[in-house]
Amino acid sequence: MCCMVKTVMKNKSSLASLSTAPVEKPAVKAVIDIGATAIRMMIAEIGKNLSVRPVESLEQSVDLGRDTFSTGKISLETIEACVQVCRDFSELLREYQITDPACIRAVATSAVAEASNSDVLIDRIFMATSISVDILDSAEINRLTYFSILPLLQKEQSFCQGNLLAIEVGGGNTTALGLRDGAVLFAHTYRFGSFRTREMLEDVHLPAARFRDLIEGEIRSGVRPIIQNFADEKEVKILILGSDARLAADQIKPGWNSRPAVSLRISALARFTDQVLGVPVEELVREYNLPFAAAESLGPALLVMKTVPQLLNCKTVYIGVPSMRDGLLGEMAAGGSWDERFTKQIINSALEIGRHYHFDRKHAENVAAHARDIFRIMQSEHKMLLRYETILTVAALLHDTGTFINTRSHHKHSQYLIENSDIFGLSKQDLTLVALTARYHRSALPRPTHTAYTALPRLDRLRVSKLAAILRVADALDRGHAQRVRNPKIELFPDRLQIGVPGLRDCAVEEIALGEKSDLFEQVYGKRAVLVKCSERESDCHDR
Amino acid sequence: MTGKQKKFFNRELSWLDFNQRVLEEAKDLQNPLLERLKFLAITASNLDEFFMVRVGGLQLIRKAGKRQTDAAGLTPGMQLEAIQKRVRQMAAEQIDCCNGLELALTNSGIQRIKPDALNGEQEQYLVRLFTEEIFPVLTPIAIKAGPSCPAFQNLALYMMVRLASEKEGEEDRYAVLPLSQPFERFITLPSGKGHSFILIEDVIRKHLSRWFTGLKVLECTVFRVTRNADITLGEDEASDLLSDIASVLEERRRSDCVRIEIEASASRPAQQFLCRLLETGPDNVFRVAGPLNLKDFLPLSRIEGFNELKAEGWYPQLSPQVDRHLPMFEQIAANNLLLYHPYESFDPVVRLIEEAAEDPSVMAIKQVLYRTSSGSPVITALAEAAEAGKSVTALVELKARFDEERNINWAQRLEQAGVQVVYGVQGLKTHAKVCLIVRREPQGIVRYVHYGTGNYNDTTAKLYSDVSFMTRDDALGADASVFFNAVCGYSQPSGLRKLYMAPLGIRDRLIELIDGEIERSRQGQKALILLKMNSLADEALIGKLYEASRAGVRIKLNVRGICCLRPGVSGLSKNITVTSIVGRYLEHARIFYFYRGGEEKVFISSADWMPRNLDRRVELMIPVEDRSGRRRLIEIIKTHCDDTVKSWTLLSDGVYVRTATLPGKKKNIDSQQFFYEQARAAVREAARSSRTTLRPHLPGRQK
Repeated sequence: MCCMVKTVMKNKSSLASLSTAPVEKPAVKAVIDIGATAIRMMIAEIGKNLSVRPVESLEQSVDLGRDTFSTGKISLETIEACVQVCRDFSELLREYQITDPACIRAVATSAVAEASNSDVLIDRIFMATSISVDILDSAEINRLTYFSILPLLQKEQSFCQGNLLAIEVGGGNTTALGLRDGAVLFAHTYRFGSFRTREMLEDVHLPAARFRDLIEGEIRSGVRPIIQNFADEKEVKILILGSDARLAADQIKPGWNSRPAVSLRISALARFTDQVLGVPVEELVREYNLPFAAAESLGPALLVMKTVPQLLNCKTVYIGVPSMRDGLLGEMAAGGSWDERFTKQIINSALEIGRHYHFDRKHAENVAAHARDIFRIMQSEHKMLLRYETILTVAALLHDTGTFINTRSHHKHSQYLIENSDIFGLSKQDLTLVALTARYHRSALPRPTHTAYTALPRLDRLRVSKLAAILRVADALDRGHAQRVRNPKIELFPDRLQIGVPGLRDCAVEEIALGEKSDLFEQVYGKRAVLVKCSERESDCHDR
Repeated sequence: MTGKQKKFFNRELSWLDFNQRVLEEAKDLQNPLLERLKFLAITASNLDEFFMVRVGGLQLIRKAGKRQTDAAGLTPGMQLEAIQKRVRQMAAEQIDCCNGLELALTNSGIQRIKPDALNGEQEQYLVRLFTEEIFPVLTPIAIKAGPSCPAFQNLALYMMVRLASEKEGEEDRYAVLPLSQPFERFITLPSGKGHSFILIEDVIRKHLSRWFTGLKVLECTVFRVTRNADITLGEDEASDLLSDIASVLEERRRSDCVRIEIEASASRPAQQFLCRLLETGPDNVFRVAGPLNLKDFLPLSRIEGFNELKAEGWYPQLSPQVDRHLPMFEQIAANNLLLYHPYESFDPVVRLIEEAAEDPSVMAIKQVLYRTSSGSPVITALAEAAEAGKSVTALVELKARFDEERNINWAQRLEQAGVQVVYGVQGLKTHAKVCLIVRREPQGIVRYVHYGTGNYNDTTAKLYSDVSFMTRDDALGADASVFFNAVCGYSQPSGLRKLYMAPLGIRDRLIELIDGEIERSRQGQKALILLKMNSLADEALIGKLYEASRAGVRIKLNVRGICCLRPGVSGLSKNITVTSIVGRYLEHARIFYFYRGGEEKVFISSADWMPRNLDRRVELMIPVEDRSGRRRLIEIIKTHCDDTVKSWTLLSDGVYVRTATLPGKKKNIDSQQFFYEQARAAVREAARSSRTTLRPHLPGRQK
């Protein structure tokens, strides 16, 4: 009886939804992910509350990984196969009336990125389907991994407690995202993946047992850097993503995927790995209904999945449903990734890098706070978005990391260290902007002889100048690394940026520093940066 | 008898058993005369197909020298031998039955007039007909054995005339007259009362001398050739499926002769000549002591009038679940609809597709077409939808046997209208019955799906009992998309949430479900499996059912046709009963029920439990989870399993006996009658309640 009532109520609401006045329908968007062994597409509805409801999920096997990782280029045959898949997918896009390019995001990962003729593939796809494919760099992949697991983190609170290592073993690369209490600690992409490993060893003709030793050896050395991130931690939860992991979970715990994640015992995963590695690829194809490319990379992928937890002494791992497509859709739903939640994670990751290089955290955070305040008050002048505020903040946090190498010319060392660090959420281009902004926090101003600076597009050069100008002023406010200036009252006047320093009797040090370092600010914004003493009461600030 | 033989029945002989059961209906004096005639015609039609496909296939295997045994332990040669024996006996029974029916029909006013019994008026009528319509059109063809021999059309009737040689010592000469086109087999004759007719061969026989003036006609005999239709398509080499299917059809026209039916009065020389002509042996000759091609009697069984000789007319009822005034989408959104055809009309299914074609909110329609009717409203609706700019995909299975030609025509018609036509899946026949409609509604994209056990054929939907399930369940809708993306080649089939799809997962899932019952039984719980299907021949699944029986699981099988499982054997299948219903409707629904400790699970499916369905076809198995649908299906399967009137029970020795004759079967249950009356009662009840409820006209709600 209870069920009956429930049904009737549901029916009423369905009927109501059919007959109510027109409301704004959810937007339908699509993401396409061109990977090493398959091209996948997801079509989803994005609701007003940014909810994502998958409508279609498609997958077609391709041999991109085999081509790229063995010959360095994509064969014409594979290019045509990829084009055909995209043609098929675009049929479905038409069916769902998704024609606006803004509603379609197509991305490719390492198997395309590393091919010498990737542009041929991308052009062919564009000509055949008008779908424009972006090649993702590692930072973008990390970011998307984060976006893909975000709903899972929100749903499963236990993942937000303690250490969490999220890994996705791809065909070409492996992504590792480390979190502590829900905050991103690190994000790295390693150049080893299931397909790449297999291809590397394909020409080595050895007996099966010996081949397995070899592949396990490769994998152990491949995963070592991942382990090191959490080497000193007693407890780490491991969340494994990707189609290979889902297949393992399907076999070990059938029917699990009504949940967003499932836990597996390592012993069960190891047994399944042995089982897979013990049979020929043809049998895997038959048994698990896999395309050949996926079957070939399954064994190495499973080895990675069981090796990482074993080396971290974990007894269980979690297998998660989310995929990169979820990340892409999540990002599309949010209208881009640069929201407050995301930038917080970037800053966490930057702080972790700073800690690694023994930075003066209090100074760094003080400068970052001043820089952010100035950035916001100068909004009408520089007209830059949140993304650049984040770049400035990260540059402020890491501007002195170069002292880890040497205090002399430390701004140049900072530039080098930043450029070569993986900061979660920042692309290569973002990192260059951060590095150059940090580099110009002291000493010489940008010059035509500075090659890294001049290599930037004009707009980015201008951005670096605008951001570095602010950073120099902010850094001057904590010249003594004593955080004497707190909660300054910053005001913008037509001719000057006035920084009121409340409660500070003697601010000579800061004044001198500002005098030295506000040159770029004046040059870029055409305004002076001046320090004013003021009492705790706001109205009492006066120009000196 | 080996262990293998003990465990399984041969599928060909089991099929012949089924045809025998149909023949028993033709012989059953309790059935009205014209109903009996219909059953007789059906047995003839069934046998034709059996010869073309099964006998043809077995002969090819024997010819290729293959000697592997089937599940029952018989080699192809042994099977052919057993088939020959059974078919000859059946053919004799058919003719006996036909002769008996002819007599009874004569007594009831439907009279076949023999040439020597024509009255004056009839004579005159025939002379005119012959002179004006037959003689000018029909030309005898002289025939000689050898390459110039004409290709006799498969299943067509011919008259062979043996003429005396002009010179002594020379061989007799032969000529043939085609009887099939453009003539009707039955020629209605003027008569004072009742209905009189004469067969075309009798008319021609009577006037034969008109063609052979001056020649001596030694004899004339009617014959019919059956050709092997088991010609498969080498799909790997197929570049254009459409033209390759056309060439298969052409090949079928000239393929090996697997049967010659000839009148029993034919002389030995005439028979030998025909064998030489068709390069076949006397084993394949069937001498018939009555009219050939009894299939032709089917239209006569539907003759106008003579209602006292027919079964009471049963008409599909419009289920009260469906309101004819409301759009189908609205009704499916409110409740899943489960219909049992033909007791309940197929019209709502056609309506759903027609409304989808017109509805501006519909974005896409996707449909599998395996066999459909001529002038199908479904085809028309799909074409109209495409013309209206909707995205329409039709998977037309070109490989549907004997419907290939028709399907090629539809495919081309649909393509011209702008439908995206997919010609099936390489190497597999797409047998699933599914239609998906994607609709944009205010709350987002919604999928409406029709899953069925029968084809989208509004004609056979009046004769075959099948289940239709219409839903907008999210998971079943998403699964339908996965299915279509897979068969259209857009995606690998993965991520099904509720459906099971052959050849990938149905057998495994069935084994899991049977295992579940086995485990429960072993733990002392109640365990029950009820299965309704057309054929059961899959060795692995039969083996599993035996295992379940041994574990104490109670299993009731309602299998209309082939059943290779041997029931009721101690230590093997003691707990299994097999029944088969042969009634006025062709039992066609596939319903699978598992008790699961009281959490009953019921599926409908397009698949029989045969290797061809589970390994070589794209099939679907759909769980029906909503309470009322599940209850309905359980009622359907249980009622059919309990049938005692039109049901036959398979005994452990392979013999089928009428269930009513078994001891302990007291209650009379005619399941088909029950469902017909139930459908009628539901309509009456709805009509009664509608008289007490006033329905206002609301704007925008009427269809």
